[in-house]
Amino acid sequence: MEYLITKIRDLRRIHKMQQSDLAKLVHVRRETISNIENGKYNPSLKLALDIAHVFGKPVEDIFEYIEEDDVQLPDSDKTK
Amino acid sequence: MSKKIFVTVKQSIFLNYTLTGICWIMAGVCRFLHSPISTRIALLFISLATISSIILLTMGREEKRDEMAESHIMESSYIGFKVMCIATMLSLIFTICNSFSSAPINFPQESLLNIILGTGMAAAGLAFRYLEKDA
Repeated sequence: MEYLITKIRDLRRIHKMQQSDLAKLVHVRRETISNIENGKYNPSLKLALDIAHVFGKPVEDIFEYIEEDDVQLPDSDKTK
Repeated sequence: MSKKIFVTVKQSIFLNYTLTGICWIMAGVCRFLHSPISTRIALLFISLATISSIILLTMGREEKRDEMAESHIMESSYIGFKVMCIATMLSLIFTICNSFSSAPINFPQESLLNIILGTGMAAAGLAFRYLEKDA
C-alpha cells in the first residue's frame, strides 16, 4: 500500500508561515492544510501545484508516495 | 442593509443537517406518542428547525467551501443516505410486525417519516463532523 507524505509543515516553519496564511494563499480553509499535513487528506493535483508554487519548489519535492513495505511511518504522517 | 452573520462550513452543516435532523427525530418521536402535549412539543421542534434554516438562509453568510469540504460533504451525504435506507427498512419491519401483533400500537404513520428523514440528516451532519475532526 502507498502512503502520501508531505513536507508542508517543515516548509511552513522555514518560511515562518501559519497554517491560516498558507490556506489564504491557496484559497482553502485552514482545516484543509491541517488535514494534508497530518496525512488525513489527499489534495487534488491543482491544490498540490498551488502549494508547491507558494514555496517555489517542484511538487515532487513536497509530496511523496512511499510504499508501506519500504519505510515505517508514524500513523499521523500517512495518507492512503 | 442588515449585517450578515458569518458561519463556517462546520457551523452551517451543523445547523442545516445535525440540528434539523435531531429536531425532526424529536418531532417524530413526539408525534409517535400521539398525545396533545407531545404534539405541541413536536410543533416546537419543527418550528426550531424551520427558524434556524430561515435565519441561515436569509441572514447567514457561509464560508466558501473548498475541495476538502466538498469531498467531506459528499462522503457524509452518502453515509446519511445509507443510514436513512436502514432506518426505512427498520420502520417497515416495525410497521409490518405491528400489524401482525395481537395488540397493535396505534400511532400516526407519518411520524415515522419524520424519524426516517431526521435520522438520515442527523447522520450526515454527524458524519461530516467526524470526517472534519482534529482539523
